[in-house]
Amino acid sequence: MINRPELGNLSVGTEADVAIFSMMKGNFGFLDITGEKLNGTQKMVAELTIRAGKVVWDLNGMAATTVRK
Amino acid sequence: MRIKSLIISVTLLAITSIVNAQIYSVLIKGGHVIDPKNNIDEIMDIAIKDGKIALVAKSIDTTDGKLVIDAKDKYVTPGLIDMHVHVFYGTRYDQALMDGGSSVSPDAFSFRAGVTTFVDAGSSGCYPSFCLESGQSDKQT
Repeated sequence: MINRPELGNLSVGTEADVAIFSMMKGNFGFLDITGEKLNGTQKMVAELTIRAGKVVWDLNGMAATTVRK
Repeated sequence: MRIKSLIISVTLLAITSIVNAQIYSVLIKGGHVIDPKNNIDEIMDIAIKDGKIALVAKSIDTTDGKLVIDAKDKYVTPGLIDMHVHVFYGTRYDQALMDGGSSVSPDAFSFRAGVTTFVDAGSSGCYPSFCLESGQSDKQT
């Protein structure tokens, strides 16, 4: 559709654009633009994003080393 | 005799360094990979080298990766593509549809949602009717 067949898949040799998500469990409200909400018990959260092989988002430091005490 | 043992130890060292070479810049291990194009919906490892996907396999040796990311209990997908955005963030707050404040900054709002590609559905410049309304056009009648 946007003529970029190398995107949106993880075929060998394509741009290393990767996202890692975790599924949170609990009580969540999903707001829409009008301010109304849908209630849910699961929420997908973007933990880590890699763009062309580089970590560009790392919510909980999955790719980081731990501070030495 | 000494030279012989020296040669042997140097050779051994060379072999060891080859074996321990970190082939991949990033290695994502144990995540549930979802890649519809390649029909993958199971736990797989992904290796990245030179900014490209180098290998997707059931088990890739941890020592092959410089940065090893443990993705156990997580989903791993291709970077998402947001098919409809308008990104024209800028400093001209008096303008509505270009270089202004009524848009988000792309890098700040894409990556935090797992998005690596934005498709701008038309932003820069403006529609004649909008321009007239907001007084941005010099073609005013």
